[in-house]
Amino acid sequence: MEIEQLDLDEWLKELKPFQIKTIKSLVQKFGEEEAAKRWIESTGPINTATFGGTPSNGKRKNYYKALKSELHKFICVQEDYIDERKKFFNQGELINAAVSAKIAIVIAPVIGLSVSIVLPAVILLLHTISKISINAYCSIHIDDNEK
Amino acid sequence: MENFNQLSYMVGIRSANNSVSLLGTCFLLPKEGTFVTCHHVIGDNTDNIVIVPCKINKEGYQDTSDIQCNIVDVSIRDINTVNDIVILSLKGTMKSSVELGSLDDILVGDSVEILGYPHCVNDPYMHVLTYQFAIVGAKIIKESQSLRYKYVVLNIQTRPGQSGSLVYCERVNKIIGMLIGGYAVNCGISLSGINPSELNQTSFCISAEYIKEML
Repeated sequence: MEIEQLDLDEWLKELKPFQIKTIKSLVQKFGEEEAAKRWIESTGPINTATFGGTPSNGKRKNYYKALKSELHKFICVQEDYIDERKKFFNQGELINAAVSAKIAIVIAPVIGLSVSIVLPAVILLLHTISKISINAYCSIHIDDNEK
Repeated sequence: MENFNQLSYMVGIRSANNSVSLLGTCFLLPKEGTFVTCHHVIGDNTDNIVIVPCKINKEGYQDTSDIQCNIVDVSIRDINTVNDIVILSLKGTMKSSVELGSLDDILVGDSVEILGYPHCVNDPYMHVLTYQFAIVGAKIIKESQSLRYKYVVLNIQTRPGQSGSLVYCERVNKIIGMLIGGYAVNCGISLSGINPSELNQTSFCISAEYIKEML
């Protein structure tokens, strides 16, 4: 399995225009990995009392950590996501932008977020990983949940 | 605004016993089968999201003792986590005839109308579509994740349930924004679940242009 090496702009074509605009702005300010984290964890404007939704006790699940963990399993752990990998890679094992959308659809319900939130973060993280080989990534990164 | 009850709805989560927990307000958009609310209204929920219309009788009254409601299943179409906007969709052709505008069209001192469901999240009997009138006190830029967005300050106190309310300006005949919340800092005190610092007349409305770019 390898990740297609393309400019981020090419990967972002998988997103809608409003997502591209927001993600590009975040990347410009924070870099790709931090942009993914901020996109997932953002809760809107500061100093604003929100008048709706379920009252929060301030302890939101760490969705970013969960996303990285599932992505790690998909890419590095042979025992996980076996069926999905077979389905996605029937014509070679290249992860490209189109496959990233399929990965987001599979991972989103596992971590409990909407695909609309997960996809931009998956693209950013995969593009980050594409800068090194998958073997190198898997050898230097272990699942955060195992740390 | 005519037919306002056909534009503004409550958002809720359907439970296993077919009851509904109300979360806030949403409104119909001028694109078929789409509604908008705040991301914080649906929170991390991904399933069982419903919209609930208000019930107004022929004489114009809403019966607060009637807690039977019709519900319509909707799904999440798009979310912008940074500016707190979510687009919901359903299969159907209903759409709003009121255009979305921008806060660029608005002047400080303009009168605007707010349509939403104050208190619906705290009290199931308060499923009351409520019309409010406010003056635009300021045009401001607010940051979220260091990205900058256009808002106006509305000189009115708003309360839980009103997030996602439409804000309409008759002068430009457009929905010019959506109510996001009110000014508050975390003062470290909670009185019966209320942060006293949120009890003020500074409410925030985000520009409808950010909703339009998601359609």
